Amino acid sequence: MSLTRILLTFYRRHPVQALFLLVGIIVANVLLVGTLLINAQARSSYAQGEQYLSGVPVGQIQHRDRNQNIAESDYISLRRQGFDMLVPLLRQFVRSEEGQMLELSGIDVFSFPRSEQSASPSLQPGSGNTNIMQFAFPPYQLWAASARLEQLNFDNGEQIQLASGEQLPPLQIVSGQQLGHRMLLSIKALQRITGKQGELSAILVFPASAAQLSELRQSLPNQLEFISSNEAPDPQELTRSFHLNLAAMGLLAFVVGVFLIYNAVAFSYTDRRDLIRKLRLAGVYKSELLRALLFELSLFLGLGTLIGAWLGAQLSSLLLPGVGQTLAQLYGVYIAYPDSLIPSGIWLPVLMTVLAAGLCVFFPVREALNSPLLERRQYSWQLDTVTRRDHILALIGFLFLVAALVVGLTANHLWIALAGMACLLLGAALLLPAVLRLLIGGLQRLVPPQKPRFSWLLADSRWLLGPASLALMAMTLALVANSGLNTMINSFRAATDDWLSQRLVADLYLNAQQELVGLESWLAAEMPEIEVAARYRETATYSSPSGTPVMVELVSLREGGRFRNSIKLMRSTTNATSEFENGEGIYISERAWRIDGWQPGDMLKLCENKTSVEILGVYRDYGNPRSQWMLSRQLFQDCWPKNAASGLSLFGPGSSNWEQIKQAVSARFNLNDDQVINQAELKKIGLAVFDRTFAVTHALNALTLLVAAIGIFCAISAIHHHRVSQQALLTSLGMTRRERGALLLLQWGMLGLLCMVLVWPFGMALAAFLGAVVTPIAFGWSFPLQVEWQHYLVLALLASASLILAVILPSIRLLRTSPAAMLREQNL
Amino acid sequence: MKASPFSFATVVLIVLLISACEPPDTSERPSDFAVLAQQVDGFKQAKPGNGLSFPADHGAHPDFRIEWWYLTANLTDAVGEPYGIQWTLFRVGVEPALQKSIENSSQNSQLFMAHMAITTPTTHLSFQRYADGIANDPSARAGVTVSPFSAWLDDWSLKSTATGWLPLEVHAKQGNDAFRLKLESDMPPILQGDAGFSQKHVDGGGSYYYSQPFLKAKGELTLDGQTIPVAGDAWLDREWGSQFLQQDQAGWDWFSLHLKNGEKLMLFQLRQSPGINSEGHFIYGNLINKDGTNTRLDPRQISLEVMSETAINGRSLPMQWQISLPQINRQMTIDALHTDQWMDVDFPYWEGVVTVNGKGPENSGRGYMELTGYSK
Repeated sequence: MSLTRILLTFYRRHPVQALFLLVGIIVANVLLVGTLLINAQARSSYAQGEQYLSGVPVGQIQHRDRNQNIAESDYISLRRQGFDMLVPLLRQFVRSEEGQMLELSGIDVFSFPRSEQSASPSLQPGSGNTNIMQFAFPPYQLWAASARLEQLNFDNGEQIQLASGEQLPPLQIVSGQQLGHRMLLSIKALQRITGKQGELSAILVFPASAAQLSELRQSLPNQLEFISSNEAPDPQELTRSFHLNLAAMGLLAFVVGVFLIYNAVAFSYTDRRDLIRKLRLAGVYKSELLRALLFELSLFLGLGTLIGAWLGAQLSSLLLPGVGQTLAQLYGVYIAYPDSLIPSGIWLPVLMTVLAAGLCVFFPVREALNSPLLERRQYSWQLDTVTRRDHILALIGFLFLVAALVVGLTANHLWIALAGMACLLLGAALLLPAVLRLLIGGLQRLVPPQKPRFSWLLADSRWLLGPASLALMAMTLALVANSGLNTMINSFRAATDDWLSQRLVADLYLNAQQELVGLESWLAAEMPEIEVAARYRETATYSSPSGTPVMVELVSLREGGRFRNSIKLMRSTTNATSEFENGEGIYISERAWRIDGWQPGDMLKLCENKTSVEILGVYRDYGNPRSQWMLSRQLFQDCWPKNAASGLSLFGPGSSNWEQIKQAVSARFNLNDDQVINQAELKKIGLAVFDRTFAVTHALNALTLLVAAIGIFCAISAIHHHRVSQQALLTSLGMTRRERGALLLLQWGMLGLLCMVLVWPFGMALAAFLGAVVTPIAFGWSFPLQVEWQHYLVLALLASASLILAVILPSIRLLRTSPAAMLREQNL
Repeated sequence: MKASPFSFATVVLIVLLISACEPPDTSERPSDFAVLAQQVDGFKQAKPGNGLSFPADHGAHPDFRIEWWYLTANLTDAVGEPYGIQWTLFRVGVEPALQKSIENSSQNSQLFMAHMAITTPTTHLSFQRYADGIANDPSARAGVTVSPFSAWLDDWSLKSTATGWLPLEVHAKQGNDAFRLKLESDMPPILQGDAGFSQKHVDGGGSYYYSQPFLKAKGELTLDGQTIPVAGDAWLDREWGSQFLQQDQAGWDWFSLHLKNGEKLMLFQLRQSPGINSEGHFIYGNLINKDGTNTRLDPRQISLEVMSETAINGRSLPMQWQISLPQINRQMTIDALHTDQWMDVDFPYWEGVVTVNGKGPENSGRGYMELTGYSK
């Protein structure tokens, strides 16, 4: 019998141990692989560029006033001048009857360039699962990726009913079109459905010779401009923070997995110490043993990483549509939902797992191989050794916490901020054994001497901290991360809610881009108490203080107390409000301040018509991935006198019946539900977008917890397997099964609850770190922490319940075994 | 000239596409060609005895399913090197069943497809474009208007330059390759077949068909940015109808020839599918005299014999023909200028310049040949 097979007989007798080791390896891999694959998929989408029917445009023609659509007649005139590389695009957001926000792209399949150098849709029958003719002619088709349909819960062939009362063409699942979050349909159909006949959002420009492109630029009407894809913001740059956060969550799960691997490995070697000693006495060399043990480990690693990677791939395709939705809503960038994921980067988690596993086995293997040959087996969990270990861990943990604090105060880069977060998490985990020991010690002093069972329970729990501390640390890590993220998201949501209430001061918002001729005079006649405010918007590129070009959104703020009060400044210069109203300065968003580096008091050249204005204050601008500057309406119009209003806001006395006014305005100016939105609806939409944006984070967060629970279950079961002698001892002392059962549950329930003593403060600390350090660096948004209790109660219950569950199953076996058999089993 | 037949093949494929729009109750669906042969409800059928009326018939006929404006020209440059151009606009009506669901007339109900080709002494260039729209909207990407006459898709256009139908100007440009020719003639349109009704089936089905074969072309080609002045003979074919094919027909061989004596000769055969009565090719011939009158040729006295075949794009295509017309005592060989005149478009076919060689000016000249439906 080979050495490896002899060593493996241990697992044959204790298959659960093998399972637990495997679960640890899998847990370390699943989320890491999943998040890596999602990020790799997104990167490949960014690298490919925005695709339409497999063609990649080299740029777009847009209206200089971004609020205005392009007239289709301008497009046709360019085509008739011979520019055949142009494809019209209409982009529209519509709401389904159920309130889902749908993003539709309308294109003209027949206008795709047919010359040899560019990709174009084939009109030949039977190409793939698509039929260009059915797409282009009534009743039309709405093309969508199957993952997107699943996300929206619609079936192939179904027709989506819109809030506006219109109906979309029958859905058709298509693959290989890189659609992702967007849905594609004929531009003629979309123009009719949204009432945008004769309008285009942009004209896509497909590859052509340099001479043709320069001729095109010269032939454009004045109001249009060509934006090359190279000039557009790089989506990879824009979304870097998001992908980094995703990767961080994968790493967190990896760390939890590594704790579990260590736990399983340590037990398997401790248990086989006798076996190893006997083998060595029989003349087997240490190096042979080491080779055999490493071979055994590599078997587990091979199988575990394989399963982990496979599960991770499944997970990533499951989560991809959610990520795509977040990216679309947060950044306006799109990733494809492919039928099969690119297997890029899988080697990284494998390598990390191998390295981590190598570290995990180093000490246990050394101990197992080097233990004196002739001594009787020793308890590895002697109290003084373990206490010393816990002190060292606590010291390291403390150093981690100090590092986290330093980083928190000084971090200026996302990587560093995330490293600080890792320090905080690890610090909390490493402190755990010492803190638990301290707490149990305190409890021991409180227990009166006439309760011997409790005294035993506490003393035994203290001993238990030796073998169980790693599993408990893993659990604490997962709980801290979970509660921290939850608190962060809830605080952020509450802050966004407040902010929306403060910012949405008008009662009715009109989004109609066409001139609402006569609206003001009609209102003055019909409802004199209602006032109208026009909103203006512009996008321009400025050089930030560090010299990098930044695309800035410029918006107008109407004069009057109602609007003035809607902007709460986080930072301001003296007399900010009055200077703002006089057009002497502007406000900048938090992102422009934090990330781009403009400071209150700085002077800026705003536009050609203005010499210089001062930055007067900083305001919060949640959910906006771009920097924004706010100008008084007068100042805006001085700078961009030709810009048409991007929208109108109506406001009036509190007693007004806005539902009635909305209906009257809609009827009079022939507006649909998407073009007139009241304040409450707008806020609801805003918060819905927020919730969907964090849907993936929530999902990953829940998964981390689930993964940790599985891991804890395995680890505690493994530990419990080794507690047979204690049970035998208690039985021989005359305790009944029922009493022993109660004691066990009490013991682990107590440990779970005691862990919460650390989870609560560190969860809050993590949330604060995320809110005050990570999010401001990543997105330029900061928000106050909101303390919540309910979530921690739920977590405490969850922790205790999963621990108890993890104990019950092995305990059933323990409780039923006869004391004699138990004691025999100890003598391996 | 070749115009209609090969147009047929191309249009056949388009119609197949459009037919694919039908709900997928294809359990009893016959072969693809049968679909073409189906009578489609809602479109008018071409019938003999209706006569043609101009200028209205230069324009679009959206009541009919398929239509084309088909121009070819045999040209020479200053030193006599041969060139050729092709400009074609196809119109296909969307099925009436679909049209019903189109809520207003400004919605698209027509698909336009345009082909352009330039043949040089050694090479061949071919391009294609598509557009949808309504038949005659002057502000659309593609369409056809009658007064003034204009047929266009983007900047590819064929249009009258004066108040009448003639003269015409044809223009097309793709990248650095283009042509612009003025087309003049003092001859009226030549009605093909029976006063403009061209029978295509033994059982009487067919299409409306007239030609303008005496056009004198003058203008310039642009090849890779280099301008070459050219002049020569052009032939315009116009055809429209709703039902074209027989189930057992495989494809077409079509000849439009400018003879040196000033006559124009048009010949075509609709080939039966192999194995199905191969003797039954539907043959048609018409000699157009210098004064514009027609000499209709008896199909039994038309012999089209393939002299040699060449492998082109995986197909074996007849590049040399022997034509015998005992009725008018003519015998000539037809040779492709060169074999590389393949139209590499979505629905590919061979269309190109040929030379006519024989005894005397009545048996020699130049022209265009079209070959469709040759399978790989």
